[in-house]
Amino acid sequence: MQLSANLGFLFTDLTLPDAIRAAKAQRFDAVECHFPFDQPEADVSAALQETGLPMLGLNTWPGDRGGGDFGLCALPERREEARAAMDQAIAYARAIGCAAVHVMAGRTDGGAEAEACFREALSYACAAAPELTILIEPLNHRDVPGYHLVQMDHAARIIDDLGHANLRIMYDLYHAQIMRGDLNGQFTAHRDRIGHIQIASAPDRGEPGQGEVDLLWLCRWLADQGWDRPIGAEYKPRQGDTVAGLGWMAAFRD
Amino acid sequence: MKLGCIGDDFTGSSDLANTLTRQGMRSAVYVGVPDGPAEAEIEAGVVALKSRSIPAQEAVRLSLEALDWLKGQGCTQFLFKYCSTFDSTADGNIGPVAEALANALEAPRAVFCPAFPSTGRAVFQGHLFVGDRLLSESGMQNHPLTPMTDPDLRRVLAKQSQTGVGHVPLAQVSEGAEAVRAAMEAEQAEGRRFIVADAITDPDLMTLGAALADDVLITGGSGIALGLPANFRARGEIGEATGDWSGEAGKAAILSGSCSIATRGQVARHKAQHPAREITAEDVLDGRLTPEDMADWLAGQEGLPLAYSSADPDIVRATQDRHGTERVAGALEAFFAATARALTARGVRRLITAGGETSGAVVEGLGLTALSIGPEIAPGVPAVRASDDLVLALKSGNFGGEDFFAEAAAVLEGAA
Repeated sequence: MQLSANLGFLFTDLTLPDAIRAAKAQRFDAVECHFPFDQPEADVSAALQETGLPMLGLNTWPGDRGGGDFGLCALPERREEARAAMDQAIAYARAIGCAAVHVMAGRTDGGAEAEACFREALSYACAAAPELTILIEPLNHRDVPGYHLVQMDHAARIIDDLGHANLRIMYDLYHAQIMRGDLNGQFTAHRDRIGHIQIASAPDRGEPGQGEVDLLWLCRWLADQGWDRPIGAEYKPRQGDTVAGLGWMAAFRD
Repeated sequence: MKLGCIGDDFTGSSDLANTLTRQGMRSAVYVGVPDGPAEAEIEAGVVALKSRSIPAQEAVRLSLEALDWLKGQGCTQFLFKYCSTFDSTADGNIGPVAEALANALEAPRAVFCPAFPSTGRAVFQGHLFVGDRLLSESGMQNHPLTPMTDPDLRRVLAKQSQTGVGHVPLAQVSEGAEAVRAAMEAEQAEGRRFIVADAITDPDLMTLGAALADDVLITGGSGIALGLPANFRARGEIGEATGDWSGEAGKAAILSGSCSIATRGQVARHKAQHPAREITAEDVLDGRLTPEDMADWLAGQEGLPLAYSSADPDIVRATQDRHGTERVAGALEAFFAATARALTARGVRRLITAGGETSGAVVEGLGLTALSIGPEIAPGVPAVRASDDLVLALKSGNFGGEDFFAEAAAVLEGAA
């Protein structure tokens, strides 16, 4: 299967252009990132062209994470910043030829106003960038207490209600395992709504190949189901050193 | 009123008022510039503006209006409170507002220190850090409206103002208030009217506070206020650390519109032992349940009754699907606001609300403009007094422990 290096967690000792080159050197098929906005677009584009790797996705700016923010787009009192963050992400994605933007909801009280605000934001992003895929990702409440979107079913309801052709779920098996499990069943139920898949071991979010879920079996099963797009490796290297931890890749590449 | 504060947003202003209260000053936060005078016993007033990301000229106008009102209340020292990540751009408004305040007050100098050690914001060598990263590598460099790409506060300020910018390094702060004062005088003598001061711990902020006892204008995050109440106390201008919260013994009620996990746990815990009634959006939208009915029921209960909106996300969403999300939200907020009004009319003296939006709707619905800060019920959630016969606890979704409602009622009643 094809694998995408998530450069928000992997090769973080390098600048983004050099991390793209390192991913290529380690035989990844694609890359994705989190918050590239302070990296010159031309340098990132040059590295993508040089390596031939596609950039699959980037995230909207999360706000002041030191101050507790984890996304802004479902926060009614932060509408202005959220709109600017979506504009920024869309413009950056276009400039470097990135295919998807993950719109981060943020921590809310789970109430109706936050939900309305999030839906309004998604409608805005979907209309502003019809050629891009807009992704929403359920996160787990243990890592991100209070995050607005935590269940696949909730994400599916949003997608069905809004009816935008370019709105999809980022299905992160690590988050989904912590919140509910039933990873095959959730894939089957939501397959047409899923735009991208990410993996990491549960419960420690380290390299695939250990932990409570057999990710190798699961990824092969996904391939059997016809999932042929690159799967995002979004894990935190256990030893801190990305390259030293890449032993898991060989089995997954077969 | 002794200390007059101007905050550039509501959350930060509440935080500042809470900080001053914890240091023993009777404090109140005002939603915008008040029309009338403050309560006589208030020692520190915080006027909360919404000026963080508005154009400099408008921010200056609003801030000067707030300053005039605070001067009219008898304040002798003024504090301009901004964000601890110094959110602004080269044409941002922190410099212009500070300059306008300094001119209006004829202040010979103003200190700048956004340090907030408990959340990792530290100023060292004039540079702002977030944790172990410079501000410009903390993620704030990507802010879509106010990207902070320069961590050197001296340079940022110099670009925003006509004033020379000086610096008091940590080495001097470590030597104590006298050394800080001498360093500030030296900078001032060199024509540097704005002075960035280093601080990496709360004791540093206490030292700065002591050194700034006679400065008419101070600027910073809420941390810079830590050491100020002691100055007023040393001069005999305010009483001893008060703790003189007198609660209200009258009827109490809880309104909960939050679906957060913490609140759902609090609701479940509370309704096991107290009268509780669920509000469904269906009943509200169909008019089967009116605010008057709800208030009658709540006021007629013994103990500590609770009215809560359906918290099961599936039920909430099913209703939203049927009626439209915005309509449901609007209807519930209007319902809570009207219920709060009806409750005060029925003699309820203690009101506890859960949920940021519910709390906001209740504050607006009751037309509250001044909130005196009382003791802390849970971290970040103070008891507040809104009038002679109404005290409140306004809780955002995810705050407080399992017994929050009962604890809040006890603190509002005056129990320690």
